Amino acid sequence: MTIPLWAEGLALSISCMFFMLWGAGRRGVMRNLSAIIPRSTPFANFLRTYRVFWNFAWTVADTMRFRELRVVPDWEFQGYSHFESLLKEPGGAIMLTAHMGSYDLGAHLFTETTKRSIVMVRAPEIDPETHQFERRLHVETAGDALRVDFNTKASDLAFELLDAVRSGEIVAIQGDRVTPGISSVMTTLFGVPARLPAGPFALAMAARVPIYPVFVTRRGRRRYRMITFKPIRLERRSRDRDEDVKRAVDEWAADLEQIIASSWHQWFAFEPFAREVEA
Amino acid sequence: MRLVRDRTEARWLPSRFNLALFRAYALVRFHLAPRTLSREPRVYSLERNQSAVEANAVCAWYVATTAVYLFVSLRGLTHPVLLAVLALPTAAIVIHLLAIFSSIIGWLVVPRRMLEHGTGSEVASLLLHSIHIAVSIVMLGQGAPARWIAFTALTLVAANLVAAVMMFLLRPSVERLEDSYVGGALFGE
Repeated sequence: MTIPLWAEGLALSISCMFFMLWGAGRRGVMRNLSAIIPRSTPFANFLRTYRVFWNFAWTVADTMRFRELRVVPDWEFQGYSHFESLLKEPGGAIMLTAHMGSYDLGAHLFTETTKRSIVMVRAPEIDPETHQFERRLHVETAGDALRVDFNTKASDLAFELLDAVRSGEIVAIQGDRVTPGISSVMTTLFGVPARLPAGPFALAMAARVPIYPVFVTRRGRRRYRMITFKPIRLERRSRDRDEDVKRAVDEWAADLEQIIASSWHQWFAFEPFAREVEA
Repeated sequence: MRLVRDRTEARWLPSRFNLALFRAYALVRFHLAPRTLSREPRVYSLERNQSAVEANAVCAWYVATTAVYLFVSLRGLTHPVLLAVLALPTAAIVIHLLAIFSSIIGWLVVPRRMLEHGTGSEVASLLLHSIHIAVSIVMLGQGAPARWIAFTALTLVAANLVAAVMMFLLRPSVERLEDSYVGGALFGE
């Protein structure tokens, strides 16, 4: 954190070259890119992977700067009318997001500049020591209006989150990655069958609250954009609950596809998002 | 946290810049900028180092001058074309290593309490600036182009000093101006 800030860009650019040696992560991003940009060449995707790592390094640096020094970047909004309706929801709501840009920073800014409080659900780190570090860091920096819960098992948090959303809180969940032990729904992403988490949709249906797709993308040095899409409302249109959930998941997948297509360099998915992509 | 909402001219508020020269330029631009509200809401952060142009310009200047200094110092060791090609990436690595080195020094000499306020970064930056000034003074005795580059570097340092004095004198009025911009309604109100 003590590096001269004007040298930060240079330091990150050189450091990212070493990250390119991380074979599994590099291959994961390249495979995802080959599905996102179908006619791209492996060489072009190799260079694009560097850009993904570079953006990732910047967002981690900005998040750490916020946590250590409380320095926030500039923010702009897209789809503000939807964001406003999220803030004016009389009850709770679900903010569905992806591993894009700096969702951590977004959640902090949200609680600093609005009167609403957030419960942020995160997948735990695999390494126990890293998980403990993350947990401690969140306890130290989260503040009163932001609570971070770690989703270790599908059933662990369900009732707690249902209570939170019913009592008017906003629950922020990442809905672009299925971790082991989490229930999922099959949908299509970039023309490929892919699984997305079912939890947020089940929660929205149980609590009868809307889902707002919200993404935070990095636009430049210390500049981020919060993009809010039209809310997804889970309505029982048929007797088949799964079919209603599937309809909402497909809607989410379409939003996700749209944002990833335009901001592929901000999608920090280091594993192939679908089996077919992996193959 | 000092945040400004929706006022587009706020991006030229001097506190968003680091070096006195850029702060002085920003103050002039601020007074020339039209007073408008952004179409979609925006939040501007009144923190140093918010400007990409400033950070990249300083970094590029350091890499470029170091490349020239390296070229002049190592001239005669190898073929000039090969040296010219290698000088730029080598300079980038040198600056990178010096940045890490200075940050370690900053981390070692600055008390923990002050590190949390970003002082370590400023100490590291000061160390790099000092090295740059010292090398530039040495390079004044060399032939062209190093002499001209060193002269320009030292002129910029002098201009920055003048700007720093000017901004120090203007500090109360700039603070009042910035305070009048900070804040605004919360979102959703």
